[in-house]
Amino acid sequence: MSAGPGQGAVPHHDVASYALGVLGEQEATHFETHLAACDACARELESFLPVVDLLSDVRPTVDLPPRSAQPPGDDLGRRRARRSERRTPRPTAGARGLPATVGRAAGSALRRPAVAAAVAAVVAAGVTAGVTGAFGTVREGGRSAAAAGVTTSTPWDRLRGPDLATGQRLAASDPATGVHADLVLDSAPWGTRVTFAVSHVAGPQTCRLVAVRRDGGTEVLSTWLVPADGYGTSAQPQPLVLQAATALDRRDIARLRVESVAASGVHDLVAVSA
Amino acid sequence: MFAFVLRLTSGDWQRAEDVVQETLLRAWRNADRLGGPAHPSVRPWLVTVARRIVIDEHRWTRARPQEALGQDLDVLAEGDHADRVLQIMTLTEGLRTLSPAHREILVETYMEGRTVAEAAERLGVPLGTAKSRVFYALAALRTALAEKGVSQ
Repeated sequence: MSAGPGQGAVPHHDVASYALGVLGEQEATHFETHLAACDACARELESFLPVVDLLSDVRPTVDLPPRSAQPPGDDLGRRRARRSERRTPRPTAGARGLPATVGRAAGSALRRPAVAAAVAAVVAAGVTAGVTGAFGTVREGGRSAAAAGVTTSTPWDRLRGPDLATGQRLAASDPATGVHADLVLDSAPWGTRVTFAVSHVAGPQTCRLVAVRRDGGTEVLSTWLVPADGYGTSAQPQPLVLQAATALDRRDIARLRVESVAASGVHDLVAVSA
Repeated sequence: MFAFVLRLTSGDWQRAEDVVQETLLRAWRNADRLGGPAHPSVRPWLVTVARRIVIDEHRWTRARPQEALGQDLDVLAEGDHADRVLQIMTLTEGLRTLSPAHREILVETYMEGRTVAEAAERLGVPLGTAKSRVFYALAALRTALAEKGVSQ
């Protein structure tokens, strides 16, 4: 067997590292040797996979309390990029060319190429293994599903950008107006990028997005028109998704408000604490 | 993966080939799911599915209808979006309540894209200790999810 570390000892504890994909190549292979003969580890692995699945959607600097001095913003971007770099070569070699649109959740945008490569490898292997005949239709179905990018469960699926992977997500619904807003705030060297989606909003009306600073001042980030059908309504089920930029530092934004603007005055549709 | 499956089939080359092919088919059918955030490393997923296929074949002695294949993947499937958001919140809460050493090892390995060996070296702890921390950290998160009753 491979002369990797952990040799000799019964590597039951390796199952967690294996599930997370943080064993080295040799060690992973070594563990698989053990796994083939160890039912306990196989069951353990299976029960860990859903946890790993969820963990992939947790963002370290946003979701975890700051324990040590961790510079915000760009540092996260850099680390994410590094993670994606490191993981790219790990899944089987020789896999390129599958578009990075495979997959669905915007949260994993930076990791997608690695996984796409792995799936491409799997697909290539499947084809060379002589998958024909009755399986042909299955393959077709798979191809269209993968190519389409599939299942939208959040408004962000229709937008792709680096901010969606690393930004902070906020959401709020106003019980009085019923208007719902989803936002992603992303720090940049030049300020803050705000990606936002508005739904359950009726038309026709003119709206705007306002940032409220910590010092109480306000800044209009965007204005738009809601057509008669509205957005995120039965007549127009899609939410309106827009992006705005502001020079404000992320930490200086206290709240964001969607307002309705009319000759008679301005009133709040929904407010989101930042 | 073939080497792994060959061990599961006790060296039966033909059966191992069948199992690998079936595993790849399922992976292909679930390409959208695998391409999502669900499986940063596809390898553990493939290995788990392959093992299930071998077990199922034992159980049904190859007399299963084609349509039954793939059902067992539901275990790895996501619920609806609201469910998932709830689960992520529970997991985030679980991460907060981990001991510092356990949280640290997850950040140093998974979150930052290092192998456990690299993380052990950075942290100045023996490799066995680092692996053991990964294990107990992940087990604690699994328990947190199960206790909330939001795990499947």
